[in-house]
Amino acid sequence: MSVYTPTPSDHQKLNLLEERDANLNLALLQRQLNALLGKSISQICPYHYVLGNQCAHFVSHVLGIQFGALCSIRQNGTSLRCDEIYNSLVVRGPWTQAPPGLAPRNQILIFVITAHEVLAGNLMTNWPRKHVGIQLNGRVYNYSNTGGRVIVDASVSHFLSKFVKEYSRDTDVSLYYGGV
Amino acid sequence: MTPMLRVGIVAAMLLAVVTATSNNLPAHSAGAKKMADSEQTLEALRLLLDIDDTQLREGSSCFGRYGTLSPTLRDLLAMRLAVFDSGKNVIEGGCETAGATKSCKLNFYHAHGEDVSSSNFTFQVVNGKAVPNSLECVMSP
Repeated sequence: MSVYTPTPSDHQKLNLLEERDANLNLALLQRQLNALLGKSISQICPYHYVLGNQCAHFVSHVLGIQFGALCSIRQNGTSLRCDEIYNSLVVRGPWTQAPPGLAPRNQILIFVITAHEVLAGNLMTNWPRKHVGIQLNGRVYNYSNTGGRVIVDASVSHFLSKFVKEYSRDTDVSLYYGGV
Repeated sequence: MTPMLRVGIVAAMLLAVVTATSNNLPAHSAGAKKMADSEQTLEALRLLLDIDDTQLREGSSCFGRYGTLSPTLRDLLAMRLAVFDSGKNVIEGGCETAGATKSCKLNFYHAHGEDVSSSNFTFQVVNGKAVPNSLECVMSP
């Protein structure tokens, strides 16, 4: 009985298949996010859990994130807190230090918070002024708490400048990434 | 906590309660009801502040990074209330007894444009004291 040994050509084919799958997943995600634009969290969360700031709750439902406090304990609930999500991700850090290969193959979470509240060891505090969205193809899908609906910011720089203005009482408002 | 800091936190909380009450209070109605609501909030606040040195252990719904090595409820309260410096700020709560069990809830809410946050606390009371192990938190974001 002979043992199969993949050839360099097989590896190449496998890589192409993986890349095709990744691109397909991203295309599906983009379609899903576009379909959610304008929707409120009560239309997204099957448990109709509505409390305070919904940014982390929104991204968690889209990506199936389940760290820390959840919107439903008995059922298949998802995360509610930015800091619990960020601190649980293996791949995370300042946005400017995101590995070049991470996007666009992975969905990248984009967090915004004053840099003073991200401690040594890349641990985010539970400082209330923080926000998270999903960066995809340069656009940032996130939940507007004033509008009560899912929106998309046209660029990462627009997303940042918006929150620099919104968090005007904080200094050094900065972006962080998280790979899911 | 230094007496000055404790007084500061209580003062900030009471100011927020007053603000919340005055914001919600219709001009000519329900004054007595709102006063009762504020008194209920005050009871829940006092009980929670009495256990502000409670250590927040990993795995607890209240756990998080609050800028100290061994975070306490006091650190959590300080961080969550520190943003009550602008916008709309609400503190409301109360306690109720069902059979032999007395339970309280206390909610903080802050909104200033897209800067929105909430902290909800629930705990049980035995012999007039909040039970630290019963404390549960739901916070956003």
